[in-house]
Amino acid sequence: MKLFNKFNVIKNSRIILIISCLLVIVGIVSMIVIGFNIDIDFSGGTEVQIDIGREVTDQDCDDINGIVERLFGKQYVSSTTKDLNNTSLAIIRTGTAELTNEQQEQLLSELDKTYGIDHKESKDFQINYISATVGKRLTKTAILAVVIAVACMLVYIALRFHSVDSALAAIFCLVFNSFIMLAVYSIFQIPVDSNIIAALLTILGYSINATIVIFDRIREDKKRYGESKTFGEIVALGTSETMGRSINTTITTLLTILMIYIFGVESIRDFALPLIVGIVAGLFSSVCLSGFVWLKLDQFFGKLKSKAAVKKASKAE
Amino acid sequence: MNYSRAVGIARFVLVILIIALVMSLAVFGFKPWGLGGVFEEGTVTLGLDLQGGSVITYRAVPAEGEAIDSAGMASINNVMRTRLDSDGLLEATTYLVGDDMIAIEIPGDSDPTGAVEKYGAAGKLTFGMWDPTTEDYDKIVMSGEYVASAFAKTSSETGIFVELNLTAEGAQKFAEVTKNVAALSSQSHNLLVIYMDDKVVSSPRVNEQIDSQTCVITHEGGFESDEANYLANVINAGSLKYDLELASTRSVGPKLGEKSLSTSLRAGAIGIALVVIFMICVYRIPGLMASIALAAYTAIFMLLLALLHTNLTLPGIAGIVLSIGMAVDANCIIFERMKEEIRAGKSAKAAIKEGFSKAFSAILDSNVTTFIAAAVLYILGSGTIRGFAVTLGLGVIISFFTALVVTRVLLYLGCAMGLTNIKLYGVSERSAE
Repeated sequence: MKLFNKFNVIKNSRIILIISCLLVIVGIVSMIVIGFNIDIDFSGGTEVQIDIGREVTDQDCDDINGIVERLFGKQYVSSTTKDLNNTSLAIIRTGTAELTNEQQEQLLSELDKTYGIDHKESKDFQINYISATVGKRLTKTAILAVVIAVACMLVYIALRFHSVDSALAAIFCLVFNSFIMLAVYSIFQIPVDSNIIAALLTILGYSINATIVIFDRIREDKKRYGESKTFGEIVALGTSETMGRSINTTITTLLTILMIYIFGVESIRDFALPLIVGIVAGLFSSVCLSGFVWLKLDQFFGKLKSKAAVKKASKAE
Repeated sequence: MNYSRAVGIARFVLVILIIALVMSLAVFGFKPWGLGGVFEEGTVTLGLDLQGGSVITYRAVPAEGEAIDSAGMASINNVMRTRLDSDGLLEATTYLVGDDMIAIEIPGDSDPTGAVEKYGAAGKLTFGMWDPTTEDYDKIVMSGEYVASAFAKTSSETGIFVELNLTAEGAQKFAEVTKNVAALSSQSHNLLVIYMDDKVVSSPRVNEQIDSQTCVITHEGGFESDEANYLANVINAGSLKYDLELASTRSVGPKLGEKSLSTSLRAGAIGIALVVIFMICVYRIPGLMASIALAAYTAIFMLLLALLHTNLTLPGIAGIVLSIGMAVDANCIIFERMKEEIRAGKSAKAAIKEGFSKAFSAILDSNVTTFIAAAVLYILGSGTIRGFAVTLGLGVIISFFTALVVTRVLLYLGCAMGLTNIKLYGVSERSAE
């Protein structure tokens, strides 16, 4: 712990910036190259999960796509994949083409016949249908929720800290964390469903916590040391003084969410993994980035102000 | 042992007993107040993702030139509720999503195929009489809005019958209609046919004008009890203000649900145990006190879950478990502060005082921001997301109390009991200053 306390975030800002840039580049590359595994929550369509009683092979996936095509036509074929955790579980998606109730029944009875199973008895059986309009609406809601939450937090911090630059610095960290989380959704191909809204907002709330604790300490140190220390020194001091808390809180939160990840069923693990990464990213951004960004913004606004003051003074003359 | 130390121990034991009382109240319930234990069936409503079932969402499609208003959606919600209740699905829930959608959750039923059409039917109730030009009973003379209620009843004379109660306006209309229908009795076309969405549900014979707010529908030899109930329910369920189109169906098999709950509970228990071990190792006496406060947190949380009859979903459980980790956060902030104060030469008691007062602003700010996130989720989200928002928001409020009040009381009692050696507070030596 002592080692961490001596870590000076301002002196090591170059390493920190390099790491941050690397993370952002990896994220962008993954989002462009691999893309996202968009769930029908957002894209619309029908999804059937069915246990075929033995391991799903690539041949089976092709067969099932064939069944879908034979029954309803080519436009209904989207993808059939094997579930990563339960290898006897096939996930059949019909993309944006919607199946009526009769068509669903038809497909299920055909699958029952082909694999000698009864889907009603199958464990982990699921059938989900989302219309495209609902998907679009959910996307809108997700964006709206994040924007509103961030705006509320921004106002609250600006009021509490009497400074816009600290609020902007905190929001910068939020954006960074959200980006890292989205990158995780892309890299691990976690289904992007409605739960992503909850995951994103939790991490927003959590990482802003961490940033506020540090800023609170910086504000206090600023009062205590006044002009005897530069703002850079105060940022480094405040960050290292709160390091114990930052690390210990991350550990306790990780302990609980890790247990969920280790013992949970698949759907909850898909929810827990981005949270875990988000929490770690939150530690990194609040400790390493937030103070640094606040310092840079402070210097930037300081320059603007002094320039304005000079202009004013010269005009007065 | 001196007097003040004995008082300290007695008070400490008292606090522990109070926490144990709240905990047992939450777990076992309190029957005289009608409070069920949190693990008992029916106290906490399990979300569909935990117990299995279907959620069907419909989107309202207004007639041309008509706009959707909240009153209309509320009436659809009521009709939906009545339809589910009359099928005995009391466990099912309905809620509005956004401005123009309604969702119904039917627990236990993981095959929503039949339910989709049944509950989404327009449910337009109409009364028709003989039309000589078409030679059929398709002359619509009255709509269902004039019917206030319907009941299945039994009398010794006619057996089971259905009683219709009309609105005041409806009684006038009905008198006129029945007069016209009864006039056709000479051709024995004097049937008043009741249609539900163009389907005949009943066709009673009308022999005379009915000039009253109540009338009865009888059946030769009496209705079968099911039949009469069905008829009454169909009439009661009323009609939907707008047509509904299917927006989405989601279903979870019950086996998947069962597995989710038990594994999540186990994960939660292990998570709490690990946090307790960690806190005691790192912070010693304050860590122990924080662990006791965590027990209080868990107890209050379970009690509130039982009291509020919360709808617990899978993300909701994740929210609880996450909030446990975060509940400890406030304690970490305070204890780190206390360590600093002790290192600077303060006594344990003075350090506790300083630690709490200096940490307060940071704890307040961080709780408010998390609460903002939970509130936004609650307002904009629906279904499982809302469950998550509720547990996260509850967690923030409760942990604010347990971390600041309960832990502080326990720490002062610790001092009163003579636990003042700075080594017990995780500080090995004071700094040279």
